[in-house]
Amino acid sequence: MIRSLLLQSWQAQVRSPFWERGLVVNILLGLLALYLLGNFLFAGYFLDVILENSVPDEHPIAALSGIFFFTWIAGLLFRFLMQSFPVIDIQPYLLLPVRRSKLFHYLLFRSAFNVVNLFPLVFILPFTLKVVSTEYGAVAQLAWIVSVMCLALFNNFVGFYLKRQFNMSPFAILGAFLVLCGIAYLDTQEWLPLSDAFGSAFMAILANPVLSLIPVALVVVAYQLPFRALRSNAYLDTVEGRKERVESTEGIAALRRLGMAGQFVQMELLQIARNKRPKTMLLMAVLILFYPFFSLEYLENGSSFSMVFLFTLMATTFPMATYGQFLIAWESSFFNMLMARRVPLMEYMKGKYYLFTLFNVAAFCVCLLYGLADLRMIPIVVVSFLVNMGITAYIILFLSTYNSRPVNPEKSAFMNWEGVGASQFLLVLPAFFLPVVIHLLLQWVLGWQWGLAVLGVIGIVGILLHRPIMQAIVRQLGRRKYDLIDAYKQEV
Amino acid sequence: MIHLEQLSKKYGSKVALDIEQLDIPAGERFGLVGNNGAGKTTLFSLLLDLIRPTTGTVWSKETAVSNSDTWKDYTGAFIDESFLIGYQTPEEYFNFVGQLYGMNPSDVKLFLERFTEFFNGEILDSGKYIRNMSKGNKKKIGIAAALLGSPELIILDEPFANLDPSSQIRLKNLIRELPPELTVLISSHDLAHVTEVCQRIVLLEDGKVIRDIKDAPERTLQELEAYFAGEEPVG
Repeated sequence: MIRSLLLQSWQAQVRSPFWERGLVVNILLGLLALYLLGNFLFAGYFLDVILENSVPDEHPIAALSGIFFFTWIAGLLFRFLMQSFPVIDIQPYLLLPVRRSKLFHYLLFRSAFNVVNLFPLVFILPFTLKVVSTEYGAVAQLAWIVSVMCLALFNNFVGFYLKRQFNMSPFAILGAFLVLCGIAYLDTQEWLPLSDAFGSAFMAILANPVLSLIPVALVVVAYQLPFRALRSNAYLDTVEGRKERVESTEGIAALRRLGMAGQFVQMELLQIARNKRPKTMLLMAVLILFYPFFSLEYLENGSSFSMVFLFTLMATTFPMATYGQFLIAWESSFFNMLMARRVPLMEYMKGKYYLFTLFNVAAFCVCLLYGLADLRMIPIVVVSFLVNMGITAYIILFLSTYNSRPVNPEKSAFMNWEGVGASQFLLVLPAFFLPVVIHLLLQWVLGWQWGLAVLGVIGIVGILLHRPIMQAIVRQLGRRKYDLIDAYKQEV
Repeated sequence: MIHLEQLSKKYGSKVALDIEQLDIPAGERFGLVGNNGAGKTTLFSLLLDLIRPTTGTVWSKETAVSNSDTWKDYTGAFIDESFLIGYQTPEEYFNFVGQLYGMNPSDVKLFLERFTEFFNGEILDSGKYIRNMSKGNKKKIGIAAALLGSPELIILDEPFANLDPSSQIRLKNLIRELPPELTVLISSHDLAHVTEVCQRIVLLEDGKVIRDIKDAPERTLQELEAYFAGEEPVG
């Protein structure tokens, strides 16, 4: 029975409209996936070298086992935030003569094959082949892999259980995050040496492979948690959890002063707050703000300012670029209304520009803190801001009129290629590389300050030309309107 | 109010709509009937400039709808769920649409009072996003929003579909009570309802107008039923 259910879910994947896109896009996505996979395999293969360099006084296997503690608790938090239980998938079967418990077994069993669970395997397989099996033999290697995979599966099942048992309030999430940070701090201060304990546990498994039955037993216990919870509340409405009552917002007073454009900003903010995909994408963008940190050493040894500029530009442009790649497509489900009712297109597009301004100012303020590490970061951050406001924002607005694939913002962001088309690939070049190439050329001829100065001036000119540029973009939207309406007719 | 000439829409070789001429005077209650694929939604989409005609032009108050946006000032419409913003609550949605017509939230609240009976207590203060509401309730929201901003022309595609019987009757009353100068365009599969609220019925088949029945309310329903049953028209 479970086999035929798995077969049907496989068919659902294979026959999904996801594959019915252009061949070129499929090839590009395939190459991107291969590239990412290659990166992880590569990193996995050199994991021992990386570990030896960063933790020289510890054996690579012990060091990695210690790190597992952190990936494990961070993974649990991540699942609690992101993972949702796909109960809806069994709805069509509930009326058929299939035992409910079988359906739940199927759901849980299928969830084990989630990409997130298989991901560690890609990472540690090369490492174990290179280091573990040569030192401890094949049996120990297998036991070790099984134990690591059990950590992921444990998280998988416990994550479902926690999600069902607890409502996600922002405070609870913040609280959990702080507790985790606290544990990590205690651990690094060696007051509560959990990661060491983890490390020795994994070393013990290598010495005595039979011990790997303990993590297996833990997974079996963890499996019982969501299974029992599901079985005791076997009705769809209770399985999905109660829908909270939502309250209407009054709107933000400051935005009202921007007129209709302010209303559109407000709409976008609600869109982000109430839909899973844009929310997750912007959370990722916050993480990318740490990116320039890794470029500071280039600044210290003065080797390449363009590199530092690239990192800073990526961090500050990312919120705008990640949300902006589907700028109009986010609204695909009600685009007809925007075009048929009295929506002033200029104000509509201005709203999007103001939203970008909000993103950019936030990113600017955060990145300005890098000035504390090196004063030369300040001009770099300022110029990045000017380039974003005066060039990149317009390019994204313009390219958004080519968002000819509908997007459902309620779906998860993870591994979701919906809405991805040629316009996203086009976006990457002018948004990230063009300014850097200009800077690189100018740095080469005149020096890094001149590179920044010229880009800054171009940015300021772009900001000053706001009106005519916006008018051109609005005319472009008017021209593209029918094509977009037609494209969004396809069901998401 | 609306004037169209030689209007056609082709998808490849398939003719979706082909109308030689059609005039809809101001204040008319205009009903559009026809089987699936007859071209009802295509006609409405052309009136709202959502699709480009293959030939011909739609004139609204002597202005071509594709050339200027002035028609948007006095036109309200609800075609389907693509006119609703799923992640908003009904109140937020009404306020947003109202704002497009220069109404503030208290104007909107006042405006919505006449829908109290139609909404049946399920729309306002429901504590739900529109995307989580039933099809019938979504329809009610769309119809009310189409009337926001004191339009002179409203276009409703299938307003009776998905409504429960009480709501259908309330909607009929609501349409009858609309100011007489308001032009109302309705498409429907429900012959009884549409003949009750419209003075003029246009019957579409394969994109062509094959009947244009005016001012004969007592015979209209009979004639339409005979047509849809596949019989020859009487007289």
